[in-house]
Amino acid sequence: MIEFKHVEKYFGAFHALKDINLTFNKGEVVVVIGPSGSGKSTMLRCINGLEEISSGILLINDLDIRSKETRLPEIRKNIGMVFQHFNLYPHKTVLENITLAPIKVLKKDEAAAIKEAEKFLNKVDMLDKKDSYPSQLSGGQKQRVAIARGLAMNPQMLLFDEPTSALDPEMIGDVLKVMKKLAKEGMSMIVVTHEMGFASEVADRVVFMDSGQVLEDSETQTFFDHPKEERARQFLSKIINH
Amino acid sequence: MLVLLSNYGPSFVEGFKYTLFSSILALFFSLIIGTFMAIFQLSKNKFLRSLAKIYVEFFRNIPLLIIVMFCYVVVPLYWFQLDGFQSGTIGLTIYTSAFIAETIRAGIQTVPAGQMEAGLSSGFTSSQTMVYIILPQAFKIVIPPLGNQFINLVKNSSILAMVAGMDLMYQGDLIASETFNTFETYIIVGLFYLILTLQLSYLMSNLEKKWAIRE
Repeated sequence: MIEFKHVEKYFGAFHALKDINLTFNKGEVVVVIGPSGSGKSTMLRCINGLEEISSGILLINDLDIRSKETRLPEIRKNIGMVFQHFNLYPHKTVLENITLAPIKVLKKDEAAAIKEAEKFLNKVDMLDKKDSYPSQLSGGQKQRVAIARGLAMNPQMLLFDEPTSALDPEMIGDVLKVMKKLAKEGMSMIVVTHEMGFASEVADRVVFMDSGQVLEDSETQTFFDHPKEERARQFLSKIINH
Repeated sequence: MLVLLSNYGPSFVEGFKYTLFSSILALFFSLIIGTFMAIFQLSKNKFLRSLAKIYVEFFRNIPLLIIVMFCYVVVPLYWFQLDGFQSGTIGLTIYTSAFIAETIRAGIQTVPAGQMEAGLSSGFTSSQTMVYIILPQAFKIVIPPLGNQFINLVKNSSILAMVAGMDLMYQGDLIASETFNTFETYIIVGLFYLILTLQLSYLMSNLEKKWAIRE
């Protein structure tokens, strides 16, 4: 459903993505790993058009993201995103954070949107905080609300951009638990993360990126047992033995 | 002072009404124009951006009196009739909206970029994101400086006196020249302005407190 063909991305003179060729299929959980600055987040942000690709072809459900007829809001309705820093709306309650887009974008009526939102809040174990404001929540709680906000649009796919990197260690487990639950239910997910435990447990595939290139794209088992690339081997040994 | 008030009370009140009315109109329209100019200044569209930049820099940097005199003298000469009250209020609106645009622009820019990204990622267009997500946060931030602009606006409305705008200052000038009691007249005029501005600053700080609690 998502296909990168020879995608290049420049930020000014900086070559952020180099000849990216990747496919993400429906129902798949793909974890993207790699050192900081390797282009993982940039690649992810291209998928929902937060970053514009410089050349190549990027197809989202067979729609060319660069074509003039493609309307980004239509694409984004079907692809949820969870950010490293949550980006909850501080002036809205937890419940309003979740219902805003379904009401205004999907034109759901308010009662139905609230009912749905409560269902998703229950799923991420945050229903008791529905009337709180984001500033009253811990990082882990905010991230779970952000996940519920993404789910409320009933997206075909969820993108996670380092969802646990800004969290205190004791909060990470709760967020990963929710993400694992979603993965088991068959949600299509692309997850940029440093959580190797999560990757080995739930990912169908692992993509390893370094300095703007995809160096490895393998089944999870294969990747962890026999990484093909020397660079991936080094990265793994550093991250696992630290 | 009480004698003056009882003799000229209706005139003071009449002037007060015009000042109030002019201030409310100018406040309402300059808030709308200022908000649009702020958004235009941050727009991706080069034409809108230049338009807003020129508007703000031009009207912010010339005296209010010139704008008002232009409306009062030049506009009727070539285009259509405007009385003192109208030209004063229009001039005040044009002038104040330039300052309000700058204030709101600064507010919008303090809202983290992640908020726009979150809105866009949920399928909102960028203008919807602006309306539902960015502006409510920006307004909350700029309430104190916006309050300053509003108070300045009320005080600047005394410019109407220069073009026979029937306002408080105009009535004050008339009464002073009729009675030669300049001392008491201008004290009373000042007190009338205080009634407006003090309430306005009270209102703004209340709004600030109310919104602060909610977050």
